[in-house]
Amino acid sequence: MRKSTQLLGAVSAAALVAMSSAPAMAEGIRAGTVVTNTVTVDYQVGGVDQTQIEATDQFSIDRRINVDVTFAGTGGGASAGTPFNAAPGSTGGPNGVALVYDVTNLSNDTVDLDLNAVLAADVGSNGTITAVFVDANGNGVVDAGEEVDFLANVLADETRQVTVLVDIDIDADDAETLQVDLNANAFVAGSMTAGGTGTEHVESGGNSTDPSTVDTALVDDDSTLSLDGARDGSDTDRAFVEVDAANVSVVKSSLVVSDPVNGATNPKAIPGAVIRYCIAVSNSGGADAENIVVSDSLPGEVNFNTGTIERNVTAVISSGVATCTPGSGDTATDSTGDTDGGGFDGGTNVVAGTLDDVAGSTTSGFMFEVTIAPAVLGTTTDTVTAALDTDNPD
Amino acid sequence: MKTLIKLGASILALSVPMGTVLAQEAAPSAAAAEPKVSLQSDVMAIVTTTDEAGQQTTQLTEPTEYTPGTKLSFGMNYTNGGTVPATNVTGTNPLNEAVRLSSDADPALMVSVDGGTTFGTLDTLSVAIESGGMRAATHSDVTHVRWTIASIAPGESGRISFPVIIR
Repeated sequence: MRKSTQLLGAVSAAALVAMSSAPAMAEGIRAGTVVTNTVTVDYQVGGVDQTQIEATDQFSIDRRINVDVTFAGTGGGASAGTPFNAAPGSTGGPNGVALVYDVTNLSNDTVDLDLNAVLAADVGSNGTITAVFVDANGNGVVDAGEEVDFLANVLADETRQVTVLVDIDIDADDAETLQVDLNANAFVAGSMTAGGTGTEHVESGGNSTDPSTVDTALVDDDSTLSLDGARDGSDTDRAFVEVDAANVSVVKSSLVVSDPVNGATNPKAIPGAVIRYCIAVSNSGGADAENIVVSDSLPGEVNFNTGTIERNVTAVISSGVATCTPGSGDTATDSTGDTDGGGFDGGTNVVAGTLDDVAGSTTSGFMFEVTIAPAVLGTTTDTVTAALDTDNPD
Repeated sequence: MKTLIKLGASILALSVPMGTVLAQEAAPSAAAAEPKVSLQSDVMAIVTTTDEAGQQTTQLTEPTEYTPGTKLSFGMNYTNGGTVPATNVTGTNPLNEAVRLSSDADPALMVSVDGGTTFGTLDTLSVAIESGGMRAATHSDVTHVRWTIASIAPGESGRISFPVIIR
């Protein structure tokens, strides 16, 4: 019986009570607000104004519960395709992986939010959630009093940042993945106590048609992640972490460059022959291998050839044999005290030097030459060590 | 609570003709002809369902949910229970700030965007913007809705309604 045809276009100049403009409320009118709709009607009889009549109707705004958790992109990756890379041994304090999530109350009422962090996937079982905290001073470290298991009295539209700290075991292998879920679940404001107990918001049973009753409706979607379902008053988001380890191998090979008899043509390893040592450092991991130090203790049967140290040369390892390309790197003087990254200590008979960072899937070489001492017959043995540090991959 | 309000409106409506009688005592025909315009306002939920054939059906139901985003119909049933026509009937409905006019409201609806000072169809109205100048008014700017009925005959009843959405 809707007679919209009777909506005629008459304009009246009757002055009416001015209204304040509606305030901006992104998540809607507060629950419990009483809305009164008042209609006033003026009419005439026989051209004479009659007393104005009025009708009203009233209802209360219901509670609409919705929560959003979004990984904030700090300390981790937002998708499997863009994981945060963490080195093995990222544990504790500032070295643990600190994953920051934005937790927003999208309800039209104040709520408490119960927090639960879950390792949804942990290939290799090398991850451990060590803390869930609100990093009030932003130092990325759990300070006294910062650990939480719920957020109290989160206002409508308010966002708070929650950090989940994850340790990566030193034994973690390159490319192992972890998925870290944070769930926030709406509870009645002020109901939660330490330990995460309180009164959880639930959908009002059999929605009251009494307009003065404030019902509760859970309107959140299902993120399909841990602890979350459709219309359960909670939300979950996931951060992706991939272990990024350097995997370094070192091969040292020698090449006879020349001998006093044959020169450079088919030279033999006879006394007086020049031998080129190539120490190739290969990184098959995903992270840069950093702070590589090469140290080679020369056997007594060879003499170091001065001025032959060359660092960061192009090198390949093929069939277990390392081959360096002379002239492709940076030369270093014999001096051990300078800044050119290489040197020879005649007292200890040790050639030592550093290599620039070796990126994943690349190889870099360190080379020098020696001369076989006179009157040597048999086998010489040479030992090389390469120490490196991959604590801080890029 | 709602019932009480409606009763209140009815009582108010009943009291109107009595005043009318007094006011029009001088008019010979008025004593026998009492217009009794009564009002009942209501709030209904607008529920649109789509059947298997894709046909959409819109129904008004008793609302069960008053959450932000819910679409409601603010309605008013009127009846002239008297014996003479009521003329130049003008209803004015300030919109509670908790709701805004829905965008599918009748474009011919007379509305105000300035607190009820001026009325017109929405497409003729504009509002000032902070940086100076004016912009076209939108449904969420509407502060008042007004409707007029030229005449309600004795015994005639009808319904006026417009859709709103809870902010």
